[in-house]
Amino acid sequence: MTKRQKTKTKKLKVKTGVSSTGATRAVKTRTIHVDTLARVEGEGALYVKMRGDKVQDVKLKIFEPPRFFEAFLRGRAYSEAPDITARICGICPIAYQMSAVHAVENAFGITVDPAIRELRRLIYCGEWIESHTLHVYMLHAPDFLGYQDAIRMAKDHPKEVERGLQLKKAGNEIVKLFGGREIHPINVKVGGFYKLPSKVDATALCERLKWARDAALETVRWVAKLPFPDFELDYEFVSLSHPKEYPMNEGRLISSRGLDIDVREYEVHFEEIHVAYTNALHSVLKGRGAYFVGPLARYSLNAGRLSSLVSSAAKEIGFSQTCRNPFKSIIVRSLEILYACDEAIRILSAYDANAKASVELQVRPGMGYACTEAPRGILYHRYKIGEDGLIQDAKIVPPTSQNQKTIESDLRQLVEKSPRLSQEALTWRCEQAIRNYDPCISCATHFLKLEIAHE
Amino acid sequence: MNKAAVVGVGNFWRGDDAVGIITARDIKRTLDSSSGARATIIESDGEVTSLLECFKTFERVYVIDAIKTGNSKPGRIFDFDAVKEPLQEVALTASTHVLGVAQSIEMARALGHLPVALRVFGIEATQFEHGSPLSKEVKAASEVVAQWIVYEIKKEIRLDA
Repeated sequence: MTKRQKTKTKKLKVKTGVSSTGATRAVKTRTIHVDTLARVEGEGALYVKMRGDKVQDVKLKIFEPPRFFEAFLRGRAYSEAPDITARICGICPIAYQMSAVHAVENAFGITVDPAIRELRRLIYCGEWIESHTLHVYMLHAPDFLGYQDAIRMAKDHPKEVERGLQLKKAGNEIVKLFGGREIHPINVKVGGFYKLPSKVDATALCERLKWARDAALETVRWVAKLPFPDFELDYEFVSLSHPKEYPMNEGRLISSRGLDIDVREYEVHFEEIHVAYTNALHSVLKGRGAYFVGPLARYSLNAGRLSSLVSSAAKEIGFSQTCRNPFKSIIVRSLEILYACDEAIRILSAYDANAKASVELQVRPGMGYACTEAPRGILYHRYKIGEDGLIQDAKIVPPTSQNQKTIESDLRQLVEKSPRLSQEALTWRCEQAIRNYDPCISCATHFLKLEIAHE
Repeated sequence: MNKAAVVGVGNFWRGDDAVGIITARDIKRTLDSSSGARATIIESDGEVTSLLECFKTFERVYVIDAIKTGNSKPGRIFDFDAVKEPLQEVALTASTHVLGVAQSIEMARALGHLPVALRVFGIEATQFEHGSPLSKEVKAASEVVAQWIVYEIKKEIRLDA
């Protein structure tokens, strides 16, 4: 049940101070301090300090301890990378496995068979359904409907919560059938899968997903009616882009401001910075600063490649192909759940249980790079592999670290634009703004850069 | 509807967090070696939809999990009758996961999916080191809980008969 006792407390302070110039005019100082963020994965806190109407300081503090996964990988066999990195997160292990296998295969110069490529897409659909549905129904919807949590919401909205739980279960079933188990799946390997399930099991799953697809469409219609604050910012969206499909495992990295690079150039354009108050590194686009990854970015850069069913659903609710309001990420996640159900049914309908489960491979020393679309945004892996097949160096950049600066920027703008909200309402709104990103704090703290100066 | 299920929750590789799973396996061994009483043994990572499915499927459910209140001796056994009363707020906020066992139980209550009987045995844990065995105190508590649940299952069988 629990490893650490955690008490969620909120300090609400409003105090009046004197301006820093020493003038006699009293300037109202406002501090929003949330000790422990609720309804996010992992442990983080929020601190906002205002003087008058201006924000002086915003800190999204992540105090989940660093986890050193990149160091664990050094000296381990290339074949262990998907299983070791999957342990970074219980919510998005497939994303870690997919980025790991693609990066190692990139180093070895391997291309998998089309059937394996499709099944990787299928298992990713399962994770998108699980992760997005959990967030939409259990973590984010209570914000819009005014409930402290999903349990209290369930008492008044049992039909919707039941639908969310069953929809999440459908995603779990995909991951369980093709990954071997729901959490920390074990069937993914470099080169493909260890074993493929029977056609009978795949067909049964496909039938159940037809219910899930209908439920996903209902979800889109339900979230479209939620009340959204009027809040739009001019973000630089970054996501994968593939010429033929909505991106999951492959593509070039593009942005809404003209970035268009091969994944291997990631570290030429992006860098991670250590910030004193948080255990997670901040990512920036070199020379440009904060950027935005995740469903909003993916959708706004790739809406034209969604299936006709999803495009029709977006049209039905009057949702445009670009969305710059992060509070509406709940709508985008719902559209992506619908897409993932639709895509999973397409892949399962053509499933061949006799296809080769994996391709032969030969160890080749070198560097391998990959970026895949985790539910929360791009997940970058880079490995240096030696002649013996052992990993010599690894770098992993999860989506939550990439969004941290953007989250802080949102908070800054949100607080300045909401001077009339009560302290309690503003605190709630700030927490909601963080949850817009579905941050996975456990993922973001896999590494802490340590610098020791010797004199 | 199926009769009884024993759900051991936890991570087998994280020290005392394995106590739910180890106790459930112990109960299975005891029931398998005796005649009559039977229960479905489930090993769970605490995932909400699986737990809710279990609550909907079985009449009587016994959940065993590690707990850390921080102010009890290691190995102390907490026994909750989750049908009779809601779990305390501390249990609801103590999980490090977004939805844990306590939240799953309260979600089942809100949706009207609680089984006829739902007993939750929490064992105060002391260490969660990767790959380490159960601590001495927690191991002793595990044996007590296993005997307790086997007794309860056998008693219910006698009552049903």
